[in-house]
Amino acid sequence: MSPAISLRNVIKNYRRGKESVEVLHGLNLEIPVGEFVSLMGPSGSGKTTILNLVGGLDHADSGEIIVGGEHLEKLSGGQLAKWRSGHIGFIFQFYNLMPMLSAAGNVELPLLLTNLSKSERRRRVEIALEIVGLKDRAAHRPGEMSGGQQQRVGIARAIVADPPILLCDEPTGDLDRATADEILSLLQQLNRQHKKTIVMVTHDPKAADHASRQLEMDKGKLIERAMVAA
Amino acid sequence: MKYLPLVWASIMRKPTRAVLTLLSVMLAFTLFGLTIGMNATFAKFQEDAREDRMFVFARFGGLVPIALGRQIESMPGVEVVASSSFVPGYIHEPKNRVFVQMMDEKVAKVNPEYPITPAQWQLIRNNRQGMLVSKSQADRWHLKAGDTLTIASPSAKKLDGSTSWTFKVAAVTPDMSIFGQGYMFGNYDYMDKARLLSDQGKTGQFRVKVRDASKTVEISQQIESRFANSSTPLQSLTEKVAFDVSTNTGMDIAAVDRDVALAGMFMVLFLTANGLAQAVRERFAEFATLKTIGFSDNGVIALVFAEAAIPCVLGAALGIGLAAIVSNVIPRFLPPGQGLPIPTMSVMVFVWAALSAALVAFISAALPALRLKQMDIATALSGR
Repeated sequence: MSPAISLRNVIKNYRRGKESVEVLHGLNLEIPVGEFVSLMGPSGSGKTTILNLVGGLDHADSGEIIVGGEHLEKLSGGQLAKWRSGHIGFIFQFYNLMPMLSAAGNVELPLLLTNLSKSERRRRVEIALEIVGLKDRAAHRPGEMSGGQQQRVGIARAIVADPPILLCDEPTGDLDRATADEILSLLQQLNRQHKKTIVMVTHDPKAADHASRQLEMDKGKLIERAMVAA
Repeated sequence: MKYLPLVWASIMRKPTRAVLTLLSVMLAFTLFGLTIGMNATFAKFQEDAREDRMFVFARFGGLVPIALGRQIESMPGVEVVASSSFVPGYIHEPKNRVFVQMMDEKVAKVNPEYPITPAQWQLIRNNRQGMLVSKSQADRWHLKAGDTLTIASPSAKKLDGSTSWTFKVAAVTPDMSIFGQGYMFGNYDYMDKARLLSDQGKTGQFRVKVRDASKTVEISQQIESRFANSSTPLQSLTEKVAFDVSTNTGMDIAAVDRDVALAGMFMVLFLTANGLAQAVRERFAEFATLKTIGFSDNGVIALVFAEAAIPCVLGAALGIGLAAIVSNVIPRFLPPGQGLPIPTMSVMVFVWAALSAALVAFISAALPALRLKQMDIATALSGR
């Protein structure tokens, strides 16, 4: 079975003024289907860069990025956008919800890009909100919900189109411990029950412990961390 | 349609800004509708004006002896000469201004296009105080055939010293576009015989119809030459020239109208462009999120264009609607029969408004759309 995510000899440089900074130095990474991987490391080590590359939000300077069997470096901007809508669910640290839309409206956004009927979209939104335990808050706007609830809406939005891969950038970075644990449990549930492949960037070792595999970025290189029972 | 709630929610995110923008667009398009509608009226005047008619009046103001009309009528090429004058005044109160055109019997021959039957003309010939009232004026003053109407006219003093002119409504006749506020036609003889002796036998102007339209200018010059050294030098104006408001006023009013409309459009363009640029700037990360979850560049750009188009098109529709209402209300405040132009809400006005609204929306959205197209999603998401 081919891996869900495969990065081969990936090099990524950023320009800072006149200076070029190499963030990823020939990075290799394979994530099998259904794995829950946490990615730790100091700020600027390239964690988010990996997420952006895997999510097709950024291009590598060289190397291959194969996600779900698709060579992302060969796709145009438009093709990447279309591919993202069906294959990747993004979960952000600060939720990135549309404040003027209800929870249901936010969750429905990825479905607007499909040809589904209104009633089918509504049905899927209800299911997604039910999975994250927010069915009764469908009509509430983000401003009327707690941080944990907003992140659940963010997760519902990420899973509503049923993408096989979830990319989470510090999903608990803005939450208290108890709420963070709830969110992490939800991610575990999505991984175990719904077979989602999850890559989660985090600074929090306790959050990382919820993953089935822990990786650490250090100066552009990946180091496998020893697992502690979750 | 499925994107409409998203676009609408984006617009209504700042309700005050949205409402103020809508009001500004609406007012700009009201102005646009009135000015472009006014040009449509001028164009209609020009279109309806005939080549074979002219107005003749005293070059230096005042009244013209009726006898000169007979002399003009005897000139080669002249078919008929009619006299017309007017009684300006008001009904009950000075604010209820009216303007009665006093016509002689030949007006029907000079202006056969008037929607008045020979029998109706005859009614005011048979009764010197008879008056033909257009439907809009009859409705306004609640008049019907047989009613008596007294008009106070301080500037048209009668022989007996009074300034009250009493008319009897002979018939209610159809309106015509040249008199947007309606009209009241009286019998010239009534005015001539009732006014001061010094004014009797005189008229305000002649309406001259020539046999050959191609000779109108030539005949016009002949009339002016013939009476140049008389005690009442005359001036003539062909109907085409008389109804060309730009020529008459010494400035290109149509161009001024266009400039005013254009200024309004620029004002609304700056307003919407600035508002939209600000709205997009404030929500840059949200657009990045939309792109992250799969919205294409074109999809996001379409949302921005829709966000610009909705207030522009809605404002334009409301503005033109308001202009149409205002142009219907204007005649209520103008005396009838003077042919004062009022805006015409023609199909072209609506077409121009729709095109302008679309153009304003397009230009307003262009720069923010370009910025979104060039957006680096990763950078925008990081808030850098």
